[in-house]
Amino acid sequence: MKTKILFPVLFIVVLLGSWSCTEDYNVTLDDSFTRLVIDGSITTDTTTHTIRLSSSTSYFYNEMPPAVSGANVLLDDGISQVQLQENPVGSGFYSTPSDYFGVPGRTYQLQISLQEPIGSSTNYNALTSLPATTFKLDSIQLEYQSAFEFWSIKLFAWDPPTTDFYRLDASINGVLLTDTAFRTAISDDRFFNGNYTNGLSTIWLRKEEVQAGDTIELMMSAIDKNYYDFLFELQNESGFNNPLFGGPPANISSNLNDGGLGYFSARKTGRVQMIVTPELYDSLRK
Amino acid sequence: MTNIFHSRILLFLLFFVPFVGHAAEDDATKPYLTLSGYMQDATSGEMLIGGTVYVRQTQSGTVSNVYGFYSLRLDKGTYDLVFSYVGYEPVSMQMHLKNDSTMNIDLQPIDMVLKEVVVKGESVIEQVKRPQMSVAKLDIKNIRQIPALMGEVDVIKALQLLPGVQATSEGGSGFSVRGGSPDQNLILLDEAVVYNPSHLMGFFSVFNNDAVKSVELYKGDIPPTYGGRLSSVVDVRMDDGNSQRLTGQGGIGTISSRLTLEGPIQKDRSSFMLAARRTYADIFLAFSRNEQIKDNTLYFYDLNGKANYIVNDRNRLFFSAYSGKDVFGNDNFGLGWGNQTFTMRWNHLFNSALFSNFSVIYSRFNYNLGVPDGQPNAFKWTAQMLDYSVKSDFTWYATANHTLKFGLLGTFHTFKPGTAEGIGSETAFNKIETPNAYALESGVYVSNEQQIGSRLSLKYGFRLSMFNNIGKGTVFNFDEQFQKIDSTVYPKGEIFKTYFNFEPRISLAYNLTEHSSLKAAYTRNAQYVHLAQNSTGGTPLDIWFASGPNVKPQLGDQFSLGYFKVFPEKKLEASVESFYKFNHNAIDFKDHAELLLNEYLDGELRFGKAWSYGLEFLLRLTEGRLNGWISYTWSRTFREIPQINNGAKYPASYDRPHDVSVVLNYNLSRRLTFGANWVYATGSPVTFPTGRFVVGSTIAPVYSDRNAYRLPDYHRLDVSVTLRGKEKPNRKWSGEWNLSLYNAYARKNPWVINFISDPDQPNVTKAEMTYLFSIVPAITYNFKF
Repeated sequence: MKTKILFPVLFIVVLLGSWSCTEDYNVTLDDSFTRLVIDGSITTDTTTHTIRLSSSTSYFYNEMPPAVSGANVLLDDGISQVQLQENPVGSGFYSTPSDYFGVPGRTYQLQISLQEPIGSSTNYNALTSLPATTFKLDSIQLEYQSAFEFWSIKLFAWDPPTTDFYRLDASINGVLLTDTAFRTAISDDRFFNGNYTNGLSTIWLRKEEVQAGDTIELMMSAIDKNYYDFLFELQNESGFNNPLFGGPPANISSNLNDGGLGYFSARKTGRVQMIVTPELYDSLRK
Repeated sequence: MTNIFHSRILLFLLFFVPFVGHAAEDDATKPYLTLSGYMQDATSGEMLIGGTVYVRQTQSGTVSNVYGFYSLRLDKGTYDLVFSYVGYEPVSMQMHLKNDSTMNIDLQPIDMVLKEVVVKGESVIEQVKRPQMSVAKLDIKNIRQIPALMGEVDVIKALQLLPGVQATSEGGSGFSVRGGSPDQNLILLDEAVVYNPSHLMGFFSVFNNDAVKSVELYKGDIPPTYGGRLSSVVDVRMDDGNSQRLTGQGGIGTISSRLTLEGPIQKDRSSFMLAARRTYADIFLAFSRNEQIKDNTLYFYDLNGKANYIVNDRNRLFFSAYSGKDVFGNDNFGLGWGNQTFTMRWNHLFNSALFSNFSVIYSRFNYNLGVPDGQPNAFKWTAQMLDYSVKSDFTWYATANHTLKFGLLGTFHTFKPGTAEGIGSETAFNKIETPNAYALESGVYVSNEQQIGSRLSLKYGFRLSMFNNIGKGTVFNFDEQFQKIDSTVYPKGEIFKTYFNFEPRISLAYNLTEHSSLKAAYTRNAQYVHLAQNSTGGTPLDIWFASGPNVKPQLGDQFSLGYFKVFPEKKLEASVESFYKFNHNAIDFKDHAELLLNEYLDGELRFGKAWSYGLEFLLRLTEGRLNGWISYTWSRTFREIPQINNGAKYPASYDRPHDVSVVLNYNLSRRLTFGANWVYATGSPVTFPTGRFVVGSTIAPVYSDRNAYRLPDYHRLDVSVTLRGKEKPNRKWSGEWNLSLYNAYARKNPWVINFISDPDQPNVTKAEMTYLFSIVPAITYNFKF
């Protein structure tokens, strides 16, 4: 359970913060070559699933990443194939039909052929599996941590006895809060394998993010180990580093072949909601 | 259990075998007479380590050992002898040697200011002649004069100012010697291994300077007496305790207070020393405006105790103990770690030429962290490293030209890399347990120091080391891609893997003139226990792991060559040393390695080679109003590991080609001393991004080759002033005020450079530098009574 190890780490960083100062730093960096980047997932929801193709840039590019447009993108689940359509044209976003849904236990392959080569290739593919994990979501509760002025979302769910990996996302009133890698929670089940999670703290929300009357939704996704590793590495490399913890910087893995970057993932999803009534809000803040 | 028990019995047998072999020595016909005894401080009875005895007629001499004992073999005759020790009035005498004689020498400490004296510098000359190089001895008196972070005088920080030694992070007590990793330093406190010498995330070391007598650092040419680490030995010796009268000393500082009491139990027979230090950083936290910091506990303490007993002329007993702990926490979680050591030693003189010491040693490092019961996600996590050792060392002053050393060491290691479990009745957490491991590390050594003619002296010998992995143990087997295949469980007591290593250690000194010499050395060292730590700071979450079926021992070969010169009239020492070092089976960690609570730790390791080379220049003023040193080191250190950095060589994190230290103290008057040190080092190599890509709304980096960039150069000036109270004849109490400024010109030395997304502009990434300490003033009041 990596998030737990992070907890004392965060505290020490806060403590060191009282001795340390931070300022912007000017540095000239070399440019590495351009690579194809994939980002997107297939879920068990029946909806339009979108995959984004872009290219990598120099580090201080400071604009939206260049879209890779006009590619031929084919999704193969081992049984049937579906062609993804770029929508809108020129955006680099490629979508399935709106009645598409992922099937647990299947392996998904994305075949991409580009109009112009990136790196030395025009043909790329990415392979991922949609876990058949039989977790069962029960409910969530909210708790206020006055010492840190944070809310934590406590999870009540059954984990099956298999080895599983999860990604957790939260939204309030339909707005996704865990929009960056650092706020998304990921967990393996080493600590609670086969157990009822019984109020495990998952996602942390700032004090002002939760108001009386809000509806909080937690989405729990079963993911495969490779995607879990990718998310773990992404969290490590896109957050703050300090020399006390964590090893030297290292590149983030990818399931796109031929030196590609990013990840094409498949997730089995479940959702649960709660309403923060004014009475509940007041009692929690006490 | 039985097999472990047997191996322990075997160890004890080994331990006593030498008795049989050398009981006969007394009766051997002796062509020489022996002059022996102890050298001690006249005022406190404290034994002097490394004091010199110089014989004018033979132009040779010897050095007192770590117990203050010396022994010389001479023909019948009349000799002019000089006993000297840096900072003490030398004792010269003429002696008619007719029989074997014992002479204990009391040396008077000198007042550095008043006496701009006559010291002939025999003590430095002897160091030039000895076949021992790459060693530095620091006296605690000198260490105390060096300005320190927050006024906390620190042994390890003083070592970091020596050539070839570098701090691994700003203000930290981790250090790299000649490019080696911090876990390749053997840190001993009265012979017991201190596995984690740091407090408060590494900003302070565990050594309370009031309890320390001396520190010796071997950074190459490690004598065969020591084994088990590749890069260096730091041998810290605690004060024995004043055998003449009850005295005390202490200090009240910015972050800690200290008190030491020492005195005789029976005058001239036995003495004790007790020292305590505690920080009170948490008192200041209460004043913090930051609510997150306010309600925390944060302190560390150190307790040192020592007692010794002179049974008779031939037998002395020593007991030393240390316990230190860091406590860190609040209602939401706690973190604590500490070391405990205990050493029991028995010095025995078989005869005036055969000195021996027998030790029983206990050493432990442990930590625990967790979220207390009643809090969400309550859990407890503990880990520990535990050693029991027995050791015997013999020095046989065989003839005037031969001094033999031999001995044995056996250590039983217990590794408990970590257990974590949920606590409280409603916990959802399972227990995660990484399997314990047991091992026996043993070594036997012989070495001879030999004088050939008047110019050449040699020291040659070897250490034979053995490492046994002992069940109960679980070893995971990995395929070539480092994926776990299966595991093998070995029953209790079974020795399932054994390594042997022959470690030759050779050095020579050739005297070019009376005051200069050339020295050369070759040493091989083997290391069987390693630290799973891939950060450079001093986190307490250390996991030591053993060599075994998946992990070969690390081997180090080092060649050194040096030129040494003294200018006795100016009390000046100068040296140039060069070294080349090669580390076989060097250990590094795969990208994104998970080292904590990982039972498949062996699968995270990657093996390759590491090498370093360099030149070290040192100019040292040993005594007088102005003392200190200036050093410059040029060195490089590289690693090459097939699965890291695409198999290409990369500079190690400790590769800092240029390194300068200036450490100076000036005694203006008896009451006023100024101290200053300035350090400069090339910035550490770092890995920076050379590209980026976007996933969701997260911007992720694409990195350069490993360590392809460098942080800006590091430099810093620290200054201090010490004002002593007036001395009055009948007053025992003496006090001094010490004011210091760390980083006096407020250099912003980057601790880390982070590449982050600008919180206000979603597409903008920037580099941000964090530096730890600006000017840090501190005031300390020290007293003695």
